[in-house]
Amino acid sequence: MSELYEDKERYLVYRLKDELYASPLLDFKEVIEYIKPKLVPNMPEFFSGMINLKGLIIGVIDLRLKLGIHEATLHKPSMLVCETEAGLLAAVVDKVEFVIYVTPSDIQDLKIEGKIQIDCLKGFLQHQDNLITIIDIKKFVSTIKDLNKDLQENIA
Amino acid sequence: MKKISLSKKINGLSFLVILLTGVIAYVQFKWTNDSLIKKVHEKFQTDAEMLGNNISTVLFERYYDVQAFASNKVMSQFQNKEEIMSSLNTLVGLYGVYDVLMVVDAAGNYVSSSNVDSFGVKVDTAKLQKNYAETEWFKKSMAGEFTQGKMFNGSYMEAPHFDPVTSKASDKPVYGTSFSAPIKNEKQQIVGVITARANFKWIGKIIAGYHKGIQSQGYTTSLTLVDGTGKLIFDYDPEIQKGEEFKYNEKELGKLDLAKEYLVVNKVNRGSKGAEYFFHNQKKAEHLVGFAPFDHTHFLDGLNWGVMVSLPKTMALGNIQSNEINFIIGLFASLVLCLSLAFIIAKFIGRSFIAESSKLTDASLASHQLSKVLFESSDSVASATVEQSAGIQESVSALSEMGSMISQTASSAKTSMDSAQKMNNKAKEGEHIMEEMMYSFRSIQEANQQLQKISLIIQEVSKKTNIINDIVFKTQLLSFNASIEAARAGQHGKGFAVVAEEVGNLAKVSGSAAKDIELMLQDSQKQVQDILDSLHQKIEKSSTVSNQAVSNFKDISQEIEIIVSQIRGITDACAQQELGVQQTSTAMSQIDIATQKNSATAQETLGAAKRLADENTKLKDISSNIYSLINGLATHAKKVEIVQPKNQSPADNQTVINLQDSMKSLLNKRGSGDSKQNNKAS
Repeated sequence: MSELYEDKERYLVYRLKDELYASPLLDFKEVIEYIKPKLVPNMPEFFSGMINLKGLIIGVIDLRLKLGIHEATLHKPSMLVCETEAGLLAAVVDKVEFVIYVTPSDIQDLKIEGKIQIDCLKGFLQHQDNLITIIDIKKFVSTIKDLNKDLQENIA
Repeated sequence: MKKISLSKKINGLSFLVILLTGVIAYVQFKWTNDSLIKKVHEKFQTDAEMLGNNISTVLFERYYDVQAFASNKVMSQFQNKEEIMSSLNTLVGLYGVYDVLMVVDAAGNYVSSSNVDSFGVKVDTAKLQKNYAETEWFKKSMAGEFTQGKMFNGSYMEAPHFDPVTSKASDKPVYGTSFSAPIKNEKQQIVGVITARANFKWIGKIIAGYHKGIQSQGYTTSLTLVDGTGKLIFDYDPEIQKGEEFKYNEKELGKLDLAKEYLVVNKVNRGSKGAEYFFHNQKKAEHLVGFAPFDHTHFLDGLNWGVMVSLPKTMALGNIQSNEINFIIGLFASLVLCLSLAFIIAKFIGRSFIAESSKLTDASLASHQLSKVLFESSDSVASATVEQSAGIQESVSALSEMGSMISQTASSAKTSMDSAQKMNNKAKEGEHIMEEMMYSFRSIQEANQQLQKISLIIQEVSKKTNIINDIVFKTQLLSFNASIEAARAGQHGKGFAVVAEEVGNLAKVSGSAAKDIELMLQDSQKQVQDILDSLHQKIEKSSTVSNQAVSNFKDISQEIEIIVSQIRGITDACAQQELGVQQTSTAMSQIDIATQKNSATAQETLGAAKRLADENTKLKDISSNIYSLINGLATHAKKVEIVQPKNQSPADNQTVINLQDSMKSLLNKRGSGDSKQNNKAS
């Protein structure tokens, strides 16, 4: 079994509305249940607020809103805690699906301009019947690092 | 009797009646008159008695006056003559009736006396001073031989006479009585005699007073007092005396023997009283006299005085006598008047009787004709009765048919009422059944509620699956975190990563199972809900339907009850109708009886008509008889000739014969009619 996964990378697959997205497992520090964030005034819409994570105050970004998916999801949402340059950030996703082992060659490199910045979009992966968008979550979240930084400072 | 005419009879009869009435009236009048006369008699007799009583009352006083004088102690003290005289004078003045009061001693010698008489005139006492031993009054008083009566004792009285003592003292004859009594000293020994010589005016005044009393009643009388031997004591008659003054005639008083002259005086002396008539010799007229002796129980023994009250008969019975004459004249006058009136009335009645009897004969002819009409009408009545009877029979049969129809209606009404009641019962049963159905609905509803509970349980289970889901979710998260940790561990974490993956897979499986369970639960929940809903709707529907059915059944039942009551009304009406028909039929049968009676009556009427004809002929005879009665048989022959041809004309006879024939034929017809009716009835 160990041989089987030797040359493969592990990705965490999560769902935003109907679509599946994946990011490298090691980008995440923790997966937690949804905690209702404390609203911070005068912030962009996707910035949900702040939460208390085991004594640490961290910001919360709603990925769904960030990606323009405004509709509420059926499932209980989860939070993915990431280690960024600006510190810890929690990203709200509809559901955490599973962990997959991916051979890097399987990732089709395709650059498309859109709401996701090109450098954040790593490519697409065919998995069974689904097409999974692979996002560099660290970079994606970092686009809002200044914001986060300001916040941190303000809190401090 | 028949020979005398009616007017003579009436005259004779009325004469007899009036005569009888007159006699009765006269007897009545006489009886009344006699009683009036009797009353007058009684009045004068009573007057005589009263006068006697009055005199004897005063006599009683005089009798004891002298004893009272004697008991005065002054009288026995003869030596004190002046004192005796003064007291005697006082007594004379006090009584006013004594002319002389004198005291004599036991030897009859004068002691003292009064010197003034009853008229206040001085008396010469010297003429009295002598011995009185030989005088009767002295001897009797000394000897105690007193004049006695039932209530009298102790004094000696001399009857009225011309007193020698007083006359001597006054030098003129004085008429009076004397009373003497012995004087006793303290030892009750007789020492002398006192004598009181009373003037007769003491009696005269009473008589005059009584005379005035009677005169005030309208009678002028003369009053006479006689002694036991019929000698005149006193006579008071102002008419003869020509004045009211007392006059004492020396020739008459005590001497005139009235008993010889008048029978009445004898009767008084014998002690009888009454009233009767006598002829007054002096006045030459018939007089009425009431007489009575003195009541001997209040008077002295042996005197036998009597009183007579006499007055003219014309004065005593004035009105009564004239009344009798007037009455007799009136009676005769009325007798004559009545007789003449009776004569006139009898004449008048006779005339009117003749006129009325001729009218009577005319009326009997008219009556003949009327009886003929009566025959005809009674025949038509009879035939009408037959028809009426037949009509009644038909009506009776029609009525009985009507009765049977009504009873049929009644019976059919009764059967319809029965069926209506049955129907009603059925409707009520239906109602009950529907009610039962309602109950079963309710039980179904209860089952439904239980089903709802099941639905709740399912919901609870569904909640539990949520918990499972939660656990699954958390487990998944844990597995992801484990994976992350394993990845961080690198090569060392590979095994752990597998475990984490497996845990994740298991969680996924259990998650999908939980989802399946949830789905299934939702499904079953939905189904249960569906069942519940449909059941609920159906129950509601059926409940409303059954409610309607129940109310409908109730309506039906009510309607049936109304029908039943209506049928009952019909039955009642039928019963009443039946009763009515029965009453009507009884009434009809009564009418039938009445009709039969009517026919009998018609027959009787026919007979009566026949008799009427007979009576008519009799009536004629009677009218001729009445004529003869009024005018008597003597004039009868003449009068009949005038009347006969008028009433006994041959035409009338013919009418009677015809009448009788038609009557007979009618009677026959009636008989056959009866038989016909009888046939019909049978």
